[in-house]
Amino acid sequence: MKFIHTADWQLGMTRHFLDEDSQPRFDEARLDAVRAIGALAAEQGCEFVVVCGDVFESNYVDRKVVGHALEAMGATPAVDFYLLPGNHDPLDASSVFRSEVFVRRRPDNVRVLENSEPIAVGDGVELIGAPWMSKHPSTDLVGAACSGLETSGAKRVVVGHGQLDSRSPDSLNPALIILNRLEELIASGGIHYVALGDRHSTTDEGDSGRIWYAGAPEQTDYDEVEPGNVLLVDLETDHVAVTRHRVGRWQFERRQWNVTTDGDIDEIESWLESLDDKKRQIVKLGLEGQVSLAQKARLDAMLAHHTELLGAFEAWERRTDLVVVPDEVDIEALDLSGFALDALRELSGRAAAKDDSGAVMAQDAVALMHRLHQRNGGDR
Amino acid sequence: MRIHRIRLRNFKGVENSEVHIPADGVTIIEGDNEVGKSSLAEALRLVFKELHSSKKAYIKDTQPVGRDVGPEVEVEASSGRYRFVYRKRWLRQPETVLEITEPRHEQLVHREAHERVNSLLDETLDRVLWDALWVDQGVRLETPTFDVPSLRQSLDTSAGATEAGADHDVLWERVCAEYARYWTPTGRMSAERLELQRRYKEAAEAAENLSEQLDALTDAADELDRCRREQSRLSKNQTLAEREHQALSEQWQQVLTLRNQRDQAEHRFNAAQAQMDAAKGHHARRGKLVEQLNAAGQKMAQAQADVDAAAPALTLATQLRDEAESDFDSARRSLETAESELHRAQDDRDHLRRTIDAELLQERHSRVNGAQQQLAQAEKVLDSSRITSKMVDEIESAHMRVVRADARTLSGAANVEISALQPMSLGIGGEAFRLEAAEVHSQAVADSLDIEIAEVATLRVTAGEEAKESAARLAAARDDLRQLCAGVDVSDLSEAREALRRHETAESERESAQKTIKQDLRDLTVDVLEQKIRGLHHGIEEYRQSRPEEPPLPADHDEARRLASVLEEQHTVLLRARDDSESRLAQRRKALTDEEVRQAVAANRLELAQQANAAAENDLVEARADKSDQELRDSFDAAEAQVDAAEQGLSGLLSRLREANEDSLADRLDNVRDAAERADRELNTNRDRQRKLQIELGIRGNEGLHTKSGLAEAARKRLHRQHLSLESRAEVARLLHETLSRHREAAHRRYLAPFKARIDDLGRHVFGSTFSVELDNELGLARRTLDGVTLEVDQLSTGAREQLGILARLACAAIVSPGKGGAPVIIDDALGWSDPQRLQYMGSAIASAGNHCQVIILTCTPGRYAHVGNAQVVNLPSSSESERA
Repeated sequence: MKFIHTADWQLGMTRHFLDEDSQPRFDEARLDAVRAIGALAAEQGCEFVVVCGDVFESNYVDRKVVGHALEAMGATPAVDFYLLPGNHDPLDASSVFRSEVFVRRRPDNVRVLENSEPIAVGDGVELIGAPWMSKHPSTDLVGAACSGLETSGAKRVVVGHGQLDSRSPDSLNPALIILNRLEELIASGGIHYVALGDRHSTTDEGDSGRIWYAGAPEQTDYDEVEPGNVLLVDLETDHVAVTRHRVGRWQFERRQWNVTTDGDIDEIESWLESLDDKKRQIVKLGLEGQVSLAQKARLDAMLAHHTELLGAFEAWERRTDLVVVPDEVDIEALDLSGFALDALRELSGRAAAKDDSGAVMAQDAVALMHRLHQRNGGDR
Repeated sequence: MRIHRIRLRNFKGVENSEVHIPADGVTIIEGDNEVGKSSLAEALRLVFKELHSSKKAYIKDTQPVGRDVGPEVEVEASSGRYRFVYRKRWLRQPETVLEITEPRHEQLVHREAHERVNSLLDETLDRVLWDALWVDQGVRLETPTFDVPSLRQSLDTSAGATEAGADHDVLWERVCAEYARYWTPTGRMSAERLELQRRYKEAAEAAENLSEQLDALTDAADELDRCRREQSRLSKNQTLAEREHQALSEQWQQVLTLRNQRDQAEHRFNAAQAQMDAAKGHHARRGKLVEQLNAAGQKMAQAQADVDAAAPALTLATQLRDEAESDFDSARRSLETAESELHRAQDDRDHLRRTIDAELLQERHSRVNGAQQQLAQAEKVLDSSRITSKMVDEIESAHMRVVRADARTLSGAANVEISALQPMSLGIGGEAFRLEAAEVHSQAVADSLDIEIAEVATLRVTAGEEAKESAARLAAARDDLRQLCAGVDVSDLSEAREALRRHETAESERESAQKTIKQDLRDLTVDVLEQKIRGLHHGIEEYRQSRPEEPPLPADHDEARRLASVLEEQHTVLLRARDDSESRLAQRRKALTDEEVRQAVAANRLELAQQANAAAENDLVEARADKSDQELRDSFDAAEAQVDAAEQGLSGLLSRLREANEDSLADRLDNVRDAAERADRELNTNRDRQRKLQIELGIRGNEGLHTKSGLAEAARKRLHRQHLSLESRAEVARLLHETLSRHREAAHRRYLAPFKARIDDLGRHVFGSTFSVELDNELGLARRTLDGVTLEVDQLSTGAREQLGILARLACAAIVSPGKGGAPVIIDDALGWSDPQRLQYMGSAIASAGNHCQVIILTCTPGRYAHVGNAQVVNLPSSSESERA
């Protein structure tokens, strides 16, 4: 029996570093991922797809997002989608799953796991859902859903959302999912697979090979490890095979560089050049080191060029400490004399001073002077 | 350039004059205005500027008045490597002659000469400097700029480096343009920055607003979940509260039954207590009745004693009152007699006064009567006569005219004299006459006269024309006289005069009568006067009839007044005596009344005390008849036993109620009732709230607030980054602009330093050691500092500006004039605004500058430049002297 395990679609998510041009592409990519999941399930002969929470970014997403999501899932009517309310879209009084749009336009192949009653899906398979009923549950919802389950002949897939106690330092959180309990249930044959959501990185948890975080199908942030996947689960009572399938196309890259020589700049440039599908790359760079005026000008021009190509470019401010100090070559190249040269030397001195709080501004002033002096007639 | 010699011929007032000037140092050319001191300066200017063919008005003005000769100027000068003599004559036989003596000899005339001079000056002389160093009298006092090529060149040379090249100007302009992108000229934020800041604030507000809405919505969802959980808790509370209420209600019923029993026991106890109190009361009243009887007996005895003591005092008071009454009667009678005598004396006095008044009024009345008759007569005369003195004058004139006309008529008329030879009848002028023989009839003929001698002849005597005219005038005069007389009802002049005299007499009499009437009537009328007289007579007559014979009337009014006065004094004495006795009588009467009252009160008290005693006796008898003292004691003892029994029953019930803890039970019952009600209320509130929240979520939940809020937050962050970036660039541009500007200004100051130093140096001669100046970019004077106070040049006095202007020119010339370069400083009688002290110091400065350049001072006030120590003075000869020369 095969099914697709996915989670954390977070449809309707907005990102501040995306501009008016990138955000719609980013949104569309996430719907593409949904369609890709349906297509993959159909192609692989899966019985169903479980989406383990955070289908939507919030209960208050634009209702157009809801309509588009239902439409994307309805595109493969033979594939059933079981949606679990998570912490982003809990089944509370304002649940998006009870919104007029969802209720009215829900295709038949889309169902919401509203409680923990076992649901028979296909031949001898039961789904046990552990939906979030509010944003602040006071217990291990997955553990609660599994307690008191009578043994049956069916293969049981538990669908849950949240952090495992083994990963969380916040041991006082009452909603943590207790890993040991699940492993005991798996060992006793009470359940056969735990499909989890919330962690955006694809992760195999515990020792059984039957407890997995699917990860987000489209990456949402820099610090996610191995995102962009869905899991194809081939489940039998005595064995399980979990395979990653990549559906995500956007990538978040965050790098820090030490820049002091032209070679360093070459390296950054070739790395940026090497990025594929640049318009779906979101890059954050931290630059540290000391460069000359000419190097800074080159760096600026190169980054400006790639900013235009990339989905988004951000300066990693916490990791950026680039000192621009004009060297003698810079100063000679500028060919200044008299008062202009005096001014340049004063600013350069301040720019190089370690203990001057205005050093950064002085550096920028030197760079500006450089730019204005080099400018040949017209505006750049 | 240096000027060596100037010669003027036929130039304005100067016929012929030549001045030699040393090549360096200060030359003062002194001379009166008429001798052409200023002409020298003008000549120097014109000789280089104007062609000899010029006929401009100011050229014509240089021709001497009344002489048809050509004004001529000759200058000997050197400039750079050239030395030359240059001469020009205008208007008459105009010509230009140039003779260059160094470096090689050249001789040129006319236009070539003019052009050659210009070319050699262009080569060797900074013309702008030449103009700048000229100080004219009264004009151009203001300090000029010294942005002249030669000074620039000198400063460039002394700066020794290329301080500011063209490239740096471009850089400077770009930095300024970059700065202007972010900052206004006054250092405020530029429009671009303000716009971005505004957009960022708007975006932040929008994001915050949406975020708040989203938070509110999330809170509503949380609250709704809380409400749902709360609802079950509230339901449980409600059930518990109702159950407890039921249990406590039953306990309360038992307490109510006990309370009822307690109330009845209390009632019984109270009734027994009342009976005992009644018995106690009866007993006490009996004792009181006995006490009252004893007290009444004592009061009665006291009252009897008071009555007995009052009688002697009353007798004495009555006796004193009677004496006082007798005294008062005798005083009153004496007063009445005196009063009667006084009244008669006063009446007599008034009567005699009236008699006098009546006589006086009667006299005034008689005078008024006489005057009224006189007035009536005068009025009558005046009414009948309309004559005035003017009319009489006119009549007199007319009379005189008649007399004069008559005389003229008689003198010019013909005279007919008829002598009858025999008696005859004849008609003369239509009138029958009879003449006897020898009778002569003579008649003047003014006009014509017909004489008819019956049946004999008719004669007509006709006067001449002159006689006719006289006759006509006479007739007219008479007619005039007649009319005038008829106008005033008189026949002739004498009657008129008589009538006027009568008229004037009547006027005088009328005036006299009116005066008399006014004096005697004063504010009265005749009727009132008469009425008063009648009134007085009536009073006199009445008094005379009513008065008794005795005593006789006093002799006169004065006697009567004296008598009345004596009697008034007597009356006053008696009146005081009567009042004293009356007052005494009143006191005695009051004392008597007091004694009477005192006696009556005592009697009354005695009576009352007797009655009270009788009543007390009666009360005691009646009470004892009703119940004997023993019976009262028995009923009190029985009541006391009943009270004890009732108290015991009540005490048992109260103890049971205390055991039931009734007060706390009531509180607990109230509390549990309140709790049940509150549970109901809270449950309802909770349900209402759930409904409201459900509705709110149903409406607002579908608005896509999360998406809107996310997009707004993204927009806010984007704009925030842009805003920070722009602000950072603005600060950077400012830093660059400020740094560059500072260095640029410092460079400028270094560049200007030699010029400034030279001015400061010269200025310290004049203003002292604290003097310094600041120059602007155009090498003009911008500010002056003295004793630590800096002022704009515009703010300085006229004199100080003029002094500064000269100092700056001297400094400029001193810098640019080594060798034969530069140009002379020519000062045409300036420093008119300077005080003597300042002039002295200026002299020192000019002398100092003279060591480095040529200074030519033209003056008509020799003393003004006396302090220029090393100056060479040239006296311009006066016209007459120059003629001799």
